[in-house]
Amino acid sequence: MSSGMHLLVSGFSLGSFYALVALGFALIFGVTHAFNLAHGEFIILSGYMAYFVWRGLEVHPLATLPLTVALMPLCALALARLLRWVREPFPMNSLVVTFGVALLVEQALLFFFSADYRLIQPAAPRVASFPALNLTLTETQAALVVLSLLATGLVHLFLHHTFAGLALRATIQNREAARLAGINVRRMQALAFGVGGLLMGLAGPLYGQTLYLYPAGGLEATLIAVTLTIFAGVGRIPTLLMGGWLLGLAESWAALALGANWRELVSALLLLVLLLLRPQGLQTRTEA
Amino acid sequence: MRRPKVGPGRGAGLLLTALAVWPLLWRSPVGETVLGLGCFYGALSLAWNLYALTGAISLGHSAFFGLGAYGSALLTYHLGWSPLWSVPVGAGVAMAYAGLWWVGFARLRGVYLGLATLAAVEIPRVIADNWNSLTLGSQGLVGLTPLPTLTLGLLTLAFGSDTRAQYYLLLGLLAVALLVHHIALSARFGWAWRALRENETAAALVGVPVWRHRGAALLLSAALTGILGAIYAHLLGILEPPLVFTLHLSAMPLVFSIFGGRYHLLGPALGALLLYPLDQLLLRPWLPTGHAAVYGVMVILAILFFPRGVAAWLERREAGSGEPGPKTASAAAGRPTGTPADPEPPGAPGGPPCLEIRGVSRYFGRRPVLKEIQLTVQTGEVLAVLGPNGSGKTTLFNLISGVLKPTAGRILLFGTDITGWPAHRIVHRGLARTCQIPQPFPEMTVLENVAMGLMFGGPGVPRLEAALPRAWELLELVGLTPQAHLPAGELPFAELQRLEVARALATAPRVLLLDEMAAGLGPKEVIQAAQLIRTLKARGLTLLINDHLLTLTARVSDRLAALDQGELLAVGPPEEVLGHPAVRAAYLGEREGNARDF
Repeated sequence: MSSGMHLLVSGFSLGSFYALVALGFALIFGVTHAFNLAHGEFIILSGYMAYFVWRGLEVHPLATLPLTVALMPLCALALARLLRWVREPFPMNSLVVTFGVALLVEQALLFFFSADYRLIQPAAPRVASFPALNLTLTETQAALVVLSLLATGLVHLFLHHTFAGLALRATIQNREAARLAGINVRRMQALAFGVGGLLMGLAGPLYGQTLYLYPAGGLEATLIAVTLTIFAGVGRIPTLLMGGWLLGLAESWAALALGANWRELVSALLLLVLLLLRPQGLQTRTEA
Repeated sequence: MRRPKVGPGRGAGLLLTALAVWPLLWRSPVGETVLGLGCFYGALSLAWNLYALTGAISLGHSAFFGLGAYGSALLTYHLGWSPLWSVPVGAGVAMAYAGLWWVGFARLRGVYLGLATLAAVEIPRVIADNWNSLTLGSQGLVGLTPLPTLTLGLLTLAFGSDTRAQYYLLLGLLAVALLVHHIALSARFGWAWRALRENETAAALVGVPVWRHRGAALLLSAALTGILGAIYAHLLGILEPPLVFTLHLSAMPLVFSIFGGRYHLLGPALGALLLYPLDQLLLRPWLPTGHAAVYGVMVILAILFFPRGVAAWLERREAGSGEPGPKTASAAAGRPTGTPADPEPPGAPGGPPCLEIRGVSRYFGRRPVLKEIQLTVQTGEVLAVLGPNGSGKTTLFNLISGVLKPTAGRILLFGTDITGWPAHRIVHRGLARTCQIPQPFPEMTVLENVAMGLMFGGPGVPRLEAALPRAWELLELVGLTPQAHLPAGELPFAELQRLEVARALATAPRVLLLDEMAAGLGPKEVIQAAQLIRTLKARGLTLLINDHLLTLTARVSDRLAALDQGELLAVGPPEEVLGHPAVRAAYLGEREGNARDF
């Protein structure tokens, strides 16, 4: 496989996954205005759950999904409950509180799982080859693309074609107007955390198969989620996917051209550039 | 809220004395190590808090720590410098990076600033990790030059080898950081930082150069953090990226400062000296991995349940002492030096214009809000700008006062072109304004709010105490003396508006812009407002008022300027403007609906 094709495949699959990572973060931020700095740490937690079920029961990595998808919404709702106690100024205070939660989760992971790097890696990974296209796809890459696109597509359908989705979008666009229209904003916030938790549950096992799991690894995922959310705005899923692919390609290119270690710089630099271009970040118009 | 001089200072003296004496009475190497590092993290937290005093929460101070460490360590490692000289250079490297933040993050605030600082650690970390020829990458620098030995007469302090000397070095660092923190809390610039933290818009409007103070706080904070990082590297003797560029080093000063209390001299140090030993002596033996969870838990608890930190109870004990009674303040009738007398009497009618607006336009995106405004304000007159909601009145005021910049056109104040000047410079030139939505410094008292105008506006009074008598007089003028010692955040709307006027007057303006002063006032209060405007005019002020309430404007103004949809329809004496057909059509026709917006 040519390096260009390789770059495209890895960038595209990684990028789809990044969009999945960012989607839950963006949804929670849009509805509750909380920058959840524990987002990445929760995904890592979900990844560790998958890792130990996979090792312990010797099942297929994706067979761990029902467990993580069932448990992570509970974690997310617990965080939502905690954030209800946060007083004004809410954005800043919730940032510090979720930062504290990230530290707490990181230390808990350290306690239970030690600082070792872990990867969910089937002994004989299956590979699909398409000689006509000069393309090789690992099973993990295929799962990344299919599941990420499926999830983002479902969330898109949910937001645009259901009544609850309509209420969620209304709350994102203007919380006060939504309240006046009779939407139970607190319930919408719980719903956002619930859906965000489902997405964390889905992202964890995929993360464990793609990138190394270690207790402090959540920061990188959080940075990616923040970057893409600021790039795309809230609730604009096609743009989020585009941003994910761009970031995935940029990272794959950096890893190929400069070396794997420089890859980590890409999302941080991108975030800085985005913040310099849009200093108000995501402030929704209604807050003005 | 007031900060008496003795309270926290004595507390700091007691704390430092206790920390200095106990090792002489009781030999405990473990205690020395843990408390020494507690002092070190206390100093680090105080350094972090210097930036936080301006309202910024940094999630990336490990960048300065690491750059200080690398800056110093590389000079000793490659060039054989003595740490005595390399440590200051390390601080300089940290400051240089802080300078980039200052310029680069100038427009970022709050959460977004926090996220930028978080991402900004990655740049030095990845470089240190990968520039193998310079930093040896992840392999790390081993065998760094230890700190030198200091000989003072009979006393030999081997900072490189003797743990007790190292303990006193770390204690000394804490003392230095406390001193800097004390200065930052009590000096004039400390009040500027506090003003910035409490309300940045208001800070600029009382004459605080926002950008400069933000940078000063950041650079000072980074320098101190860099010194600490450099000393850390030489104490440890080894240096690798994961030792310094870590989230933990960014998190610890944040956690300690918030837990201890961000607004108290001792707060950040207390946080470190309580939490770090708790973690190391109690939790670590019991939970070898995961003990640092306590930091996460404590910062969450602090934000949720005691946002002013554990120092809040110290604040409560100190409160009450040193409160200047109203009598002492008003009895000090003699004006402090540096406060100018009332503005000169008005110039003769038809004198030189004090404010000229030449063809000013302002667009928001592609939408014009003001189109080609031509307006000249004469010295000593009261000019009212009339117009329905959305006609551009407040935008015009924002352009004149430097809150917004015009898209086209020039603005001249006393003949000087002030177009594009930052708000604080315009204040220093003698133009002040009030805001339609009052902008108090919510946690300062009403008296202190006014004193900010005296300290940072035209008069430039160097100390708060010197500004209080004049501030008291201004409160008398607007009738707020009974509320003088209340936090401004507790005032009702109408009183906040009068506070705005007093604070604007404190900057000793020659031109005063009153933005929507009568909005939300009852009939009696409107009469009071009209009286106040006449008093100010009699004192020689030029006034520009902006209202859609004709009962006020018609009563007090010499001339009217009618705005509609961003265009100036007519300027002239009230009867003439109100009789103008275009004004009648555009404004009076809608008046029924707009006169009061309840």
